Amino acid sequence: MARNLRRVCGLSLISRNGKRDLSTSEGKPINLFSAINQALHIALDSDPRAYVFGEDVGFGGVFRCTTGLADRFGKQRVFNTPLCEQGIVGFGIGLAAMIVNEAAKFRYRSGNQFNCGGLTIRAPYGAVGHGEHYHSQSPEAFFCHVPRIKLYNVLFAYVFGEDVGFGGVFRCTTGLADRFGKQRVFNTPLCEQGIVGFGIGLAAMGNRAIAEIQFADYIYPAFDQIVNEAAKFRYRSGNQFNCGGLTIRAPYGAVGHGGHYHSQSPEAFFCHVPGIKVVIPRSPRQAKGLLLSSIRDPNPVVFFEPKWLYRLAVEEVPEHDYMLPLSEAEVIREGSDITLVGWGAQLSVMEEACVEAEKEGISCELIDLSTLIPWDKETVEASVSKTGRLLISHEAPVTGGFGAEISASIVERCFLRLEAPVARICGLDTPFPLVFEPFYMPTKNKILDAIKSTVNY
Amino acid sequence: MAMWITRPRNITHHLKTNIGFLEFFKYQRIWLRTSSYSNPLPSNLIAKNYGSTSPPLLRDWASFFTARRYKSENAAKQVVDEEKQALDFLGGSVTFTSDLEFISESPEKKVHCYRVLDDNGYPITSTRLPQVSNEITMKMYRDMVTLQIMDAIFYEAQRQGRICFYATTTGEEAVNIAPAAALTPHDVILPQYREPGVLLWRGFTLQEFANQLFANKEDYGKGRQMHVHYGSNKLNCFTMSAPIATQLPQAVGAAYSLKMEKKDACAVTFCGDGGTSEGDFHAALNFAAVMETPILFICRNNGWAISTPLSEQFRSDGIAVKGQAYGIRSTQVDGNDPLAVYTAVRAAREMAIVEQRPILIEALTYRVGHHSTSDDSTKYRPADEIEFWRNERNPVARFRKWIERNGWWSEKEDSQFRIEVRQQVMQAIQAAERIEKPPLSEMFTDVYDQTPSNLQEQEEMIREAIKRHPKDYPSDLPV
Repeated sequence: MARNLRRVCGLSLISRNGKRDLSTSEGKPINLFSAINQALHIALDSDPRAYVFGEDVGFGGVFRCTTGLADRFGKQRVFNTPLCEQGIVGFGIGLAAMIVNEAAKFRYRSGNQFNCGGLTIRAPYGAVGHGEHYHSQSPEAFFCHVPRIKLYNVLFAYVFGEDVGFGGVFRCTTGLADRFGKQRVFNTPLCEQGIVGFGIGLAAMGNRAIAEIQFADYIYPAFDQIVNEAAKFRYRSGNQFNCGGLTIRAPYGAVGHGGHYHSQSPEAFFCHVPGIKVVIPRSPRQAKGLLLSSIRDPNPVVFFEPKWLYRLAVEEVPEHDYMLPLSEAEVIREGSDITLVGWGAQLSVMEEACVEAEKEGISCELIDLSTLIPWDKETVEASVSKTGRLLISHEAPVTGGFGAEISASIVERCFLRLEAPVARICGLDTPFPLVFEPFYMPTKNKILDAIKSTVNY
Repeated sequence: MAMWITRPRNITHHLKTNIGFLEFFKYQRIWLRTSSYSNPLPSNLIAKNYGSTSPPLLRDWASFFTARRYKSENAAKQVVDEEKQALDFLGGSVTFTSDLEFISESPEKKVHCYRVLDDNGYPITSTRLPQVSNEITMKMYRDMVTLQIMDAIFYEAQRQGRICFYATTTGEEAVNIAPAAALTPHDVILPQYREPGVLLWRGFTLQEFANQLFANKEDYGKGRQMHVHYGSNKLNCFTMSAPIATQLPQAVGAAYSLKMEKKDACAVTFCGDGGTSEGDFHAALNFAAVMETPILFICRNNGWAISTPLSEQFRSDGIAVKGQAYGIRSTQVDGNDPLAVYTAVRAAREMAIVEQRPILIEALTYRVGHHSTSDDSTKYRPADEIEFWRNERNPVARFRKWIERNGWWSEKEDSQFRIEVRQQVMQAIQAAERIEKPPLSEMFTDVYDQTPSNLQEQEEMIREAIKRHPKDYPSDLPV
């Protein structure tokens, strides 16, 4: 009866649960780009302040999704842009904000005074059969006590980035320019994509290029160079070329008062990229050894340094040259009831939780992953096989964080051994807030509570 | 009062314009003691024009008299002229003006474009004809023809379904071959993707091109990348990648390395007109200027970025003008004139290496072919425009007229040569088709220098899957 009425009136009736189910109304079979084209027509038709723009959309776009739109709605609403993705999205944010670092945090950081909710970014993704590296990616997922970098051990090594000349904003590069000269330790212009691109070229010529990004929060302009270039440099050239000499250092993580743009932990974005390594030290001694290994590793490495620990953490560090192995997780506390996995500054918080849990009779095994990709599954698997329980903790937001990868891998390997679900005590799914930081952070007590509930599952 | 006598002309002038008595003083030469001032003399005191109703002198009486009091003291660091005031800022000395000025959005004269041969291959000024050896001239021509024929046949091969994809350089043969001819083998090249001619010049064979297109085991890229993404370490030409302009800042890093090694070589990198909109273009030019690197940026301005014409790409007077904004010496050349391009690149290379500086070359040309085999450019540009550039402004035909007129080539030799090249291309295709694909193991190597455990596991998983469902997988790839 309802269906007949729909045919007659062309209306969708309200279904029993009170929601209108428009997707089940009858239609013709069409392919994906035509469906998208229809949606765009409707979007432009129903809202006079809607715009469609991008590279080559005017004539219909390289996949024909925007066919006919320019003819119908005019070139002021459907238009080509210059060839510049950061420009396209930035422009779109501004346009959307007028209608009601940037898009994701726009509403939140302004206290909901502004939003760019009108912005939709479309991009074809996924395998196409012959697209290979650059037309097939599926992106639905996205110190401390400063180590002395020994430039004299390596023939052509360079350190560069914003403000590294005078020592850098965290003093990590103090004294290097004086000692090794301004041609080897130098400031760059304020441009992360330039820093990393330059570093790739320098490394590809056989040098060690140690690039600094001032805060991990600002690494995103270099994301294209890291993901599309550095990570694929060796593979795509059939090993004729490589930029293994590239190391990108960046301070990451909470600092107590950093807010959105001085506190981020973006490691998960990079863990999704085959071809690079991601290394995060937990302490001064670890940092020196891991950084030297990263610099000398024949693969490009992204090295995140926990800024919280730059001044706070003090440890005895050997003065000589030493390296610590990459992709080897370290069991820093042995236990038998539950395995905890973490990295960076979070480990000290987890360690406090372990100490408290010990008082209540729970024996915790704590593992520092230290290299996130390629990560040491075997050590974690062996530990969970022993304890039967796993808890992962990181500052980055829980959804899509690297803890999800660890959890999924361990469940695959240790399913029958697990006594309880894998727990993740992580940052919340908000931009990193300032005054709410204590609520956002995965604190010792949150971890302790989770340890107890996992053990008592 | 002696002041008045020094500039009597000014007094007359003022009296003529009917301004107050006290206005005299503002045109005097006033010596400033900058050390005793936190602010310089207000510029409106020495302004020629001011729009306010009351004379500013009366408003600024106090500061004026202060200036007069210091007039005789010899502590001036700055001289205030009646019209100009210059001060040092961190960027250098700045001359002030009281006339508000905006630099025009476009230059009074458009940039001149350098060419040597006209459209019919006649030299424009014989006295300034560049000296190019016969050997290089003939190799340039032969390579341009080879490129033309190779493009046509590979394009057809895609249409026949023998390869998945191809992108031609039709119309841009000169801008492909001539820069390569002007460089030495030690110069490091980072191309975009429409410069296979550079590889061809350096000795990349037709077979090597075909191997990459057929993704067989002889492909240096081991079958991993899409077609036309060539690279050769022995020819000093970095492997191409699809993202636009990413190679530009990398080239600056490579150039810096050459600089530090004091090599007699430069880095040379290419992009199209579209590529100059990317952030990486601006990053690269800025870095190159600051680091004083020996690098050539060669921009093939071929009028189209897929379907986007220049008017939708930028509003500057072409690309060469952008160089000055970064402190880079630049020039614009006729990209369809191989002699002009050769000369410009040769001169640029010399400057880049001797003076250790970047140079920007904009080469004007036209993309006669479609963007690629996935594109039909008649959808967004008129067919007669394409035909005009294919025929009347054809760089190969133009150069051919020049060399034939000089007696270095003949029509008979030309058709003979073309037949030979066609045969060679066809043979290369046939051979490439027969060579087997790279083995499956090559999928997992070179992600890192050593294969990590997760990839070893995944390789085992895939081999298991192939055994269980062989029909899901292509049969021509050796497992």
